[in-house]
Amino acid sequence: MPTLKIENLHVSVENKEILKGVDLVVNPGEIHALMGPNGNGKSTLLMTIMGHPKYTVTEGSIYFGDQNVLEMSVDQRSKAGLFIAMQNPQEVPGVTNSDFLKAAVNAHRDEPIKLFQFIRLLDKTIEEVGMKSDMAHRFLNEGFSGGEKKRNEIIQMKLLKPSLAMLDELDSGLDVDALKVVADNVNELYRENNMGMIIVSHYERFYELIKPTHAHVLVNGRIVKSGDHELAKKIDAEGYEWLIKEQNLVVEQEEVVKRAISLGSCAANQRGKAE
Amino acid sequence: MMEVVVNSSEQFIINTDKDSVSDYSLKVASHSKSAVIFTVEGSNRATFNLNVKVEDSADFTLLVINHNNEELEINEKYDLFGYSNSVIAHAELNGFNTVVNSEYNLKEQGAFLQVQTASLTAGKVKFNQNCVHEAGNTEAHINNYGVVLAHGLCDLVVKNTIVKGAHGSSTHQTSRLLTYDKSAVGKILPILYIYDNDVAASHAASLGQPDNDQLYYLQSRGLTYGEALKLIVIGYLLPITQVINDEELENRLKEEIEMKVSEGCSM
Repeated sequence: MPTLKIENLHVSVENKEILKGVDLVVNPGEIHALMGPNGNGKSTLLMTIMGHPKYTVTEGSIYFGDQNVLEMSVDQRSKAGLFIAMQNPQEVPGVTNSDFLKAAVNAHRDEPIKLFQFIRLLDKTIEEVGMKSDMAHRFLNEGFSGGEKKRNEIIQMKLLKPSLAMLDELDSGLDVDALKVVADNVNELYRENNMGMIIVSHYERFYELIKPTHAHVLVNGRIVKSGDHELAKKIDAEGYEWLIKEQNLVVEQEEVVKRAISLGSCAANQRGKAE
Repeated sequence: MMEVVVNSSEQFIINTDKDSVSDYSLKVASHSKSAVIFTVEGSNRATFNLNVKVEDSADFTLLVINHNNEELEINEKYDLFGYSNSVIAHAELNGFNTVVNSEYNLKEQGAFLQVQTASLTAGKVKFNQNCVHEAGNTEAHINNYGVVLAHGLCDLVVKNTIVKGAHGSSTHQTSRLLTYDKSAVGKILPILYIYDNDVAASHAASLGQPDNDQLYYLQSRGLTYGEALKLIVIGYLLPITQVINDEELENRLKEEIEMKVSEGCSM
């Protein structure tokens, strides 16, 4: 796996600066835990590495080996070996998991995979992550529970075998048993591929299953503290308060956007979502 | 006028090179189970008129596939009787101008109707659908899914009426149009006329360009922008294949949709 090297990364969303100079190096086989209060830029960092068009890089660089990631399209980043397991995987009605996964596998190969070979591979992978076999014929994430969506992210990761995987709150929505299944699969892939990883999670329980070699705390768009697994444990036990005092930080609060809602059935639905 | 009594599966070819006007009248026999496919082909401007009477307790599926390489007008009328079950599907994938005027009359208690259309529009396509619940405990679901390609226009006018006295009826319409780019135009006009209290009625409509988050999600797995867009477009049109209870026909239609989307999206 090439080394991921991020230097002085500044990122804005709709002219609001979210990341204000992030430096991070992830070498092969390293597992980096990324922690921090909500709304301080963790997901922004992962989405920017993967190239989401909403995030604008205003300064800094991201290199994956000798490849300038910021000059690559989203699909090129995937083909180079980057992968993100998303916090909220999209639902795509009408597109079956099977068709999507075959297209994704083929995008990473020179020759298209033979249908029989693909079906065998998919069936095996679905079984390994403990999903029902009918998921292949269901529409992509449509009607999936939170846990099923997360397991589907792992199926994709296993099929694509990335060199660097970014897991954005993969553990949210999973019960204890599902968490263990997902962690076992991630660990197996890690061992097989000497994969680098960046993991965003709020819970030490997940870090106990996937033991990070490094840990960082992101506050106000900057990494304010780095360490090893012990740092993650300390934050789990004591929260961020000690760190905020130690670093003399004032945490910027996440903005809550309130929309005007008019009365009516659609507004009732909108209110339900907002709450 | 060609009159046909239907009690099994049949296929008809409407050749617009031979007739500029085709008239069909179908009577679907009581308690029968049948599937009828009309394929319109040729290269002339034409009109296709279709009258269908679905008798009580019949189970009926009808699919119209438009392959005509010129303008086509379809005028269709369905009278649906007690406890009949009807699925009416239209595949408009040919890229030429088409107008489909549809009248669905649920005339007796227990009649069930599902309408499913899929349109890939490079020209101008208009659906005028008028569904009337004339009797109680009738049920209708009208689902229109369309993709409007560059410079195309798709216009959906969907009217559901529950008359006074049609207690316990339910009527639902869903219209979704995906516009390929800014030059594509989509129009949806959902109308519900409800004259009775003890009923269920709903409409859902969405119109717009492909969702950027969906595209990003697919691209993040290695699909190019074009591949991701094609997959989403195909996904919009494929629900029509699920209403056809014939595996061979379902696969054929799926292949046709994929081929037409590949042609249309690379224009």
